[in-house]
Amino acid sequence: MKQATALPLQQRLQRQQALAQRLRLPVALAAGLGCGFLIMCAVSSEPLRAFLILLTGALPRLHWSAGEGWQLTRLVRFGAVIEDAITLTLLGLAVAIPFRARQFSLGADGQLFLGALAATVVSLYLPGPWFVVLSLSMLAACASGFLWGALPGLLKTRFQANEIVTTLMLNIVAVQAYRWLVSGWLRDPAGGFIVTPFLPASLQLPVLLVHTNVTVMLLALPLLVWTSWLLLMRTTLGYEIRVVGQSAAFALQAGLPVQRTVWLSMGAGGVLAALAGMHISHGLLKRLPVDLPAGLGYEGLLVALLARCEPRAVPWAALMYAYLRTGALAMERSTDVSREVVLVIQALVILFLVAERMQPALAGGWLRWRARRAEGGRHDA
Amino acid sequence: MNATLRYLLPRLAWTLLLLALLSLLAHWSDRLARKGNDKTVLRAVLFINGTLGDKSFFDSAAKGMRRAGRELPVSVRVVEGGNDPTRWESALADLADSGDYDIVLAGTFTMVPYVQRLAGEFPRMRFVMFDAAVDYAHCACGNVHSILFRQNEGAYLAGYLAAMLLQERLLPGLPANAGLGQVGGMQLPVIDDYLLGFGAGARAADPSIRVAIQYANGFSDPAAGKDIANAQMAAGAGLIFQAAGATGQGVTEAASEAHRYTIGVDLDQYEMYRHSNPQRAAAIVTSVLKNVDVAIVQALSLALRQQLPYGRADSLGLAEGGIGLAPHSEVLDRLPLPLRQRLDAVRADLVSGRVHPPSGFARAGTEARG
Repeated sequence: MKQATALPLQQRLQRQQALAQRLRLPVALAAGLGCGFLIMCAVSSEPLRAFLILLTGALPRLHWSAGEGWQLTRLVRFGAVIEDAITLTLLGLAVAIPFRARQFSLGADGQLFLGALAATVVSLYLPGPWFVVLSLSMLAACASGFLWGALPGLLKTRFQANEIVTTLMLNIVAVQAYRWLVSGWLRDPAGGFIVTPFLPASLQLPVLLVHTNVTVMLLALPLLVWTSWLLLMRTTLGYEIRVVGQSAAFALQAGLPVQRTVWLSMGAGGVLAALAGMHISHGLLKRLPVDLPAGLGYEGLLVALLARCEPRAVPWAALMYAYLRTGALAMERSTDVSREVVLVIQALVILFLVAERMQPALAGGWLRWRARRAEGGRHDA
Repeated sequence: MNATLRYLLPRLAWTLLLLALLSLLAHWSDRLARKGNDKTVLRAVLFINGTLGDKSFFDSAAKGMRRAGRELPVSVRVVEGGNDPTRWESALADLADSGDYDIVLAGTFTMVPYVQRLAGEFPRMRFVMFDAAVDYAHCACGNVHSILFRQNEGAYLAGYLAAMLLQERLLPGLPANAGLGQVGGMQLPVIDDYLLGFGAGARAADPSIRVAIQYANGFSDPAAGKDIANAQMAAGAGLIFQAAGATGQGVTEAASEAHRYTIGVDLDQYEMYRHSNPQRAAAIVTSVLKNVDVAIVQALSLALRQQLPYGRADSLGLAEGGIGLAPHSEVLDRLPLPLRQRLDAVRADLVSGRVHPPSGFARAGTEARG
């Protein structure tokens, strides 16, 4: 009984950490949603319904009727979740890999724009059978993403240019180049607004779910996640990335090629961001509008942080984020909660999820309280 | 392999369990929703591919929906799609698929391909497309009604008024020999329709007048609008016409700060600023009204009576009341009678078809004029 308080410090810390680890997600979700519910109570006349729709709005519904048997409806909305989750997963991986090498690359945006642009240009202007053109489009996207990712890496290793600054600046260059090309050379004169022509039907990614844009990209996703994980955990480059990320000075002492690791990790991230761009151009939009908003890449940042830069966790984080976002949209659509409130609630949930420090503190507090109670109980006895 | 499975299986199991729990919750919440009473005959939803608050096009459409909701037995909802175009198609498809609505309204050319696709996939849904027309020859769009506006007529009238005001020196505080400026959101047929009409009207009143044109390349960037307006005013523009959605708010701001003048678009912007910001309102001469709200109320009331002509595009101009000039502002209220009569004569010419303002659609080569 006495051990409860006299546990060695290390053991106590370990228990604390394990508990915090296990409680991290549920506590953060509950706290974020709880705060959201309080806000909804303030602004809505039917907060409970709005809250339930936020939680369940994105789900497909399973109905039973005697005539038609089991029926799955609202698949379109769940399709939107999956579409969104695919983009977010790719962007999340794109950010997570350089992060493991401790490179704060914010360049996913520019890589996405260039990837989409390169894939579209190849698809529009290269003749040939579809499988050749499509694979060349993908190659073009990957190559441009790799170059645009490796460039700030090289700038950093050669000229000590801070990668946060260079990636942000290169984003601007990429986005403006994209806008220039789309509004000039690639513009479809009959489009009615500034947009490229539609991709030929044979080059649009095949759709898996009717009425939605859930494409074969969904099937490629596990492969990409697995490859990223393999790259990080089972290859020499991955080992180097992780060592550089944990301590660049140590890696240098150990004779690892730190510079090469840095720019390769950023290039690898660029490839994944460019694939997200191709998912947008060939899967979702099928053509590129000039006003594709910059900032999609930063959502990848969020997903990567939620997943703690662990590739295998990225799809789950992306799915959860997409699920919440779509549920929030559904709530906006069918209740009196307005768009702004929806955005605030979304941000709160994310805030609680990312605020990791809070939970070890909470777990520690709870353990201390339990220990004190145990002590109190002993005194009483 | 084993490690992967050990990693994957528990997580998959947890996800499935969570989904099952949430599904139960979903059934409960659906039952909660169904308790609502239903006196409405028609359930309409307006999808906005952007956000509200532009004080012009989308706000006007939302105003029409609100009015329809008040005056007709229609339940209305306005859904903002946000500024991310990758989510518009799925959101619109969801509205058509949800079964919560009978008729879906959407505007602008951006939405045309989505509506064309959904009209074929959901033949029992009804769609109203405003400020753009679906391509009836090439899609199964028997359930889509399109509303087009002949905005060049209203812009022509505004251009005529603007040139006349400069010529007669009725705008106090302007430098001698001031010209006109125009700010467009993007170079699209609809926007060109405004700009060409305005230029033609201005030259009809004063053939020697200078008219500067620039596009902001975006409908949601007031800062860009302000920059362009300042540049045009520095080059001698005394009055600027803006057809640029929320970007135009920057133009209005720049003009009012420089004590110059502006003509707004879509909604009566003088009326909007009259109480909230009198200084800004003083700079607004008039607005080329695109009565999206009127058109929407009209379309919904026709739809209620089963008389809305689906499978066809209608075009609304000055004669039909779809387009007009805002009647009041500090400048317009002081307008001398002879000038007012000249303006009315031009309006009559436009309505009767004696004057044909140039169209931005002819130039783009689209067959959107229905």
